[in-house]
Amino acid sequence: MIDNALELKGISKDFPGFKLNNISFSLPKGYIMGLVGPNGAGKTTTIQLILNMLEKDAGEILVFGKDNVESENAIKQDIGVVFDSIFYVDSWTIKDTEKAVSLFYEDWKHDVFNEMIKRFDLPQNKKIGELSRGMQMKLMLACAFSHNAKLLILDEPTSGLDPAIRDEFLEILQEYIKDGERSVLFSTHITTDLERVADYITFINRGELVYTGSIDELLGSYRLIKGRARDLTAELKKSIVGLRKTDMGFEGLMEAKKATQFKNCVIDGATIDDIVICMSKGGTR
Amino acid sequence: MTGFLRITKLDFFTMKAQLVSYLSLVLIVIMYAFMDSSVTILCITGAWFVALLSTNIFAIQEKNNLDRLYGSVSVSLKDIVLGRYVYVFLNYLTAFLVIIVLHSCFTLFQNKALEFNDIMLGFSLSFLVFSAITGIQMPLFFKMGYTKAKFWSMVPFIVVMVLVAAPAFVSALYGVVEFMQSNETVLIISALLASCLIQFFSYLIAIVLYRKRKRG
Repeated sequence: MIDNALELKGISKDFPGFKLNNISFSLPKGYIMGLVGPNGAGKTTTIQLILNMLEKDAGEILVFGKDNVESENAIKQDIGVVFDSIFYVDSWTIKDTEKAVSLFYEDWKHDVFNEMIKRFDLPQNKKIGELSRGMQMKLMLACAFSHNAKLLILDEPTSGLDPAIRDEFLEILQEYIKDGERSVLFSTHITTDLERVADYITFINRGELVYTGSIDELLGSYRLIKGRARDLTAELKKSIVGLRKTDMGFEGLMEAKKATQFKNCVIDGATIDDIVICMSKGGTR
Repeated sequence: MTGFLRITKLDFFTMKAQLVSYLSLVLIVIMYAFMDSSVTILCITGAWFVALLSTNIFAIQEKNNLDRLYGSVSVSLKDIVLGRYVYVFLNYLTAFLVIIVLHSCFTLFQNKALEFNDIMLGFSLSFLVFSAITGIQMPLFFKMGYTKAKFWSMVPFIVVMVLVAAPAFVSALYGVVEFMQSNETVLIISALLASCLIQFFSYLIAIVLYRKRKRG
C-alpha cells in the first residue's frame, strides 16, 4: 500500500541565474502540506516539475507511487490543480468550461460539478472574464473536485482574496481531506492560512530546501528572541538567524533549545511568518 | 477519444467566440464571384485568409494561460502539437469546402460549369500556400509563444508573396510556370505532395521546439 500521495527525491532544475537544488520531501495521504518561501524561492518551479510542465534535470518525483513522467497521463486523472490566476478562456461560460475540461477526465461527474457550482453560488451563464477572482478560484476548485482528484495542488490560490472567501476556502480544504485518502499541496505567502489547516510544511529558500516536516515541529524548533542592544553579545549574535537591529534593541530567530540560555532576553513563540522572514534574511540553516 | 482529438476539440471550444470572423470568408467569395475570378485564385485567397485567422489560437492560448490548462490535464506534448495541427488543417478544409459550395452556387446561378480539375487545382495550390505559411509559423509559435513570434510569423507571408511574384521578374521561372500550366495533373500531385511534406516536417520540428521550451 502506498502511504505517500507525493514524494520528491533529490529534485534539481538549473536555469540561468537560478537553481532549484536537491529538493526532497514527501506528503502522506490524508494531509495538507504548505509550501512556503519568499518570492523567487522556487515554489512554482517545484509545482511545475511535479506536473511535468517543466523537465527536471535530476531526481525522482512519485505521485501515488508512480513516476510523474512515465505515468503522467494516468497520474493527472487524479490530480486537481488551482493556480493563482485562472487558466480557462475568458469568453467561456461556466457551462463551456465544464464541456472543455471534462474532455480530459474519464471519471468526470457532472452532478458533482453542478452541486459545487450551486454550493459556490456561481452564475452558470456568466463569462469567465466577468467573474470575480474569488469566483474564478472556486470554479477551478469545482473542476478539481468534479473528477474526484485525490491530490490537490494549489499554487498561491488565496492571494488577493478577501478574508471571508479565504476562510471559506480553508474550510473546503479541511472537508476535502476528511476521508483520509486525499491530500493537498498548498503553496502560499499567507502563512496564517497554513497555521490553520496545514499538517506539514516545506520551506524553500533560494532554491534550497530549508525545512520539511510537521508544522508543530517547525514551530516548536524556533523562538523569536528580542532584547536590548547591550544584551547582544557575540555569542548571541552567532546563534541568531535574520538578526534585525532597531533603535530599541534587536530581534531575530533562534533555535528553541538554545533560547533558554539567554535569560536577559524576551523569548516568544515564532510564527511561520517569523521563520520565513528571518530565514530569508539570514540564509538557510 | 484519443489525446490529440481532445486538444483539437478544445481548440474549437477555445476559438468559439472568434469563429464569427470566418463569415468574412463568405464576403470574399461573393466579391470574387462578381469579379468573375477563377476558383483557383479564390481558393488561394481563402487559404491566405485562413492562415491569417487560424493561428489566432496561439494568441488566445497565451492571453488565457492555457499552457497551464494543458499542463494540468492528461495529455502528452505530442498530442498538444498534433491536436493543434489537426485544428488548423480542419480550419483550412472547412474554409475550402465552404468556398467550393458557395462558388458552385454562383457558377450555377451564372449558368456556367465548374470543372473537377479546377477544384483539384484550387485545392492543391491553396493547400500548398496554406502549408507554406502555417508550416513555418506553427513551430515558431510553439517555440516562442504568440507575442514573441508575432513578427517572425509574418515572414512566410512575405516569402509566399515573393514566390508568387517571382516568375514575372525572373524569365527562367516563367518557363516552369508554363510547364506547370500545360501539365495540370503533375502540378496537382506535386503541390499536394509538397504540402504534405511541409506539414509533416513542420510538425516534427514543432515537437522538438516545444519540448525545448518545456526544458526551460
